[in-house]
Amino acid sequence: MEFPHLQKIHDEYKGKGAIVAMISIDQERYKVGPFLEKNPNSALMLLSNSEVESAYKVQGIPLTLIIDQKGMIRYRHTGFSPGQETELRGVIEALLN
Amino acid sequence: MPTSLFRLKALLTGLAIVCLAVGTLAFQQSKPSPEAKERYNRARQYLAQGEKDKALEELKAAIELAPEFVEAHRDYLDNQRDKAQSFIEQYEAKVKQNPNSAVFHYLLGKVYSNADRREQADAEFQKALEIDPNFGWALLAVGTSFSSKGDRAKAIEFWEKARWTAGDSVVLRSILASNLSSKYASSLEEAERVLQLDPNYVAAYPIKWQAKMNMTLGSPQTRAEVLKDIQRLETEKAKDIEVLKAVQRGYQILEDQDGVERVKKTILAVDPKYFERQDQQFYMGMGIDSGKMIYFRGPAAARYFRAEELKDPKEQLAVYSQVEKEVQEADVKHYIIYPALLRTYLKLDDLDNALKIMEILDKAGLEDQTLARLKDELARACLRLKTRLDAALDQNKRSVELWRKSIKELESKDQKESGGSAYARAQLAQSLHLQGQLLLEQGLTEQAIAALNESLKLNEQEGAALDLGLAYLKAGKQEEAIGALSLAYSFDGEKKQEAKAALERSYGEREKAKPLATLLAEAADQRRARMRQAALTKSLAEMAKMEVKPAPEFEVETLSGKKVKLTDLRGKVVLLNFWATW
Repeated sequence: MEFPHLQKIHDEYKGKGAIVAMISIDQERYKVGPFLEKNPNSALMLLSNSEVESAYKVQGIPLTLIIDQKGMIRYRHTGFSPGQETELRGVIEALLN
Repeated sequence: MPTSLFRLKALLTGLAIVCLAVGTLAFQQSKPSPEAKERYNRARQYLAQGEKDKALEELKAAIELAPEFVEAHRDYLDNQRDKAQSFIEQYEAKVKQNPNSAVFHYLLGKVYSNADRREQADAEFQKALEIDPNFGWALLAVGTSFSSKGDRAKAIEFWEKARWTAGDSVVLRSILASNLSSKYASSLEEAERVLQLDPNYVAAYPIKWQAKMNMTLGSPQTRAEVLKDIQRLETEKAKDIEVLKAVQRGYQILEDQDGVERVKKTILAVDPKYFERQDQQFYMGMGIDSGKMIYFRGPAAARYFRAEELKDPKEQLAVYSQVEKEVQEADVKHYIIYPALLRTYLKLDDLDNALKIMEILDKAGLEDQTLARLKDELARACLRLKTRLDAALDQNKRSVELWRKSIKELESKDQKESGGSAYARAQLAQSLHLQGQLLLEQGLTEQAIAALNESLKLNEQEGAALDLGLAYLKAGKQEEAIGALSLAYSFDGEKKQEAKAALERSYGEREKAKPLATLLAEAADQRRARMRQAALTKSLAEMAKMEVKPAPEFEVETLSGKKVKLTDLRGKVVLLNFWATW
């Protein structure tokens, strides 16, 4: 779970024109609510469906994408690496400027 | 890719327990005679009891009585997957004799699929559909083929279509209900249909419960309804293994651990060998750094998997040690069991045994990154316990070497996917930080300063900055110390107060020239500006490499049921993250 840094990014940029939307791909959707009660998150929390998973070819998680203001995909990365937060911030900043 | 943080979806579905269920059935193509059905039902009972040979005999008899009896063929073939190759000729001959039979084309496809001949399998399923576009089993198979290629939407289209042509085959309907779990309304309808057709087909209950829970996101009312259903089954048919299995799954859905444990005991009382047989079919897979998959199968794998949940490391150790004796496959031992043993010894502060395991791993030919991580875990435990520091430093030096080698290789390969060598660099920075801590502990201040400086150059981390500041203080280098400590402070993280306290102790007379508060504010500003610039430069380079494509439109729901479309967010930069609670 890479909550903390995405949460930070969301809080920092939501007033500046960028948001974080998290889509849970849990098959057991009813587990997401209780999980978020224990791990609250201010980002936009969404529940997946097979159409969106197919359209974005979700094969492994976490899958992170950044979509620009015109709806174009500008970043896509599966997995998590320690330097990723800086990278994500950089892409967002570049798109906001 | 770091192993522990990357999971393949397919693996988790692979771990789902296969449900066998006893039930009567009817079949829409040419209906099997009552005698064939009886033999088939007997076979299912044998399978549930683990009597595979007897079951296969019954299935063979059922097929002889009713040659187009799909359910019987399926069980016959699926229970002999290891011999899939040997059935090819036989089923090819059947197709030759009945070239216009959708059933035989489907069955040949099933044989090919079990033998891992995917393309031939798909071709046969297509032929079956050409002959009979409404043949439910072929629709199921084509959907499954799409699903395995990652196209869930197309898969669901075929499965939904199969629902309308499934007739009164409870086996087919039950599989569809389970496959369609993300389409909870369809899943619920199918599961309820199965139970209408055959109230004894209890494997459909958990599918129904899960669909209901998904539909209402686990509302208290649904929970109460499901619990009532479970308790009714539990009291009515407390001796039936299939019922108990469904009941146990029900308690799992409700996350009622007491219920799960209670039913487990009941199952053991009815059939002491039940879980042993389940464990025979268990398997787990683990992706290692190079992306290769390691599969661990059978009862030992099941025990290993369950031991991960144990709270007492001593109990874990007992399980892992036993499993180690039973397992033969080198990869499983080296990538799964020895690392688990090592980590458990570290939890128990047993460094001697941990070092012994490391000796084995040193000779195992592990991938560099895997070995490097384990070595640092070992070294970190020594540092925590402040013992065996010599050994810790040896291990850590080796891990630093391994990370350096890994970075070189990754860079020369000109990695296309971003993050490959960045990950190794961040890891090397951590290893060097650990080295600095170990050297400081040994009183080797100058060497520690060198390691910490290199670590910070690779990746600025507050911990390393703080330790570097403290090392400079020890060496009497005040100016350098103040620089490193104010850097540590500027992260605004958990080391902030510690850094500030050290600065206050050593800042002294300098306060007059420039107050400490001003220095700290400047350090924070500088760091922010530096980070932003670095991120921008790097990200612009990354973005330039990437092909710009339109993001597919989607519509999903929030937890409160509100619909959200991607176009609703147009005009904003959207960071989209797919995740899961597991």
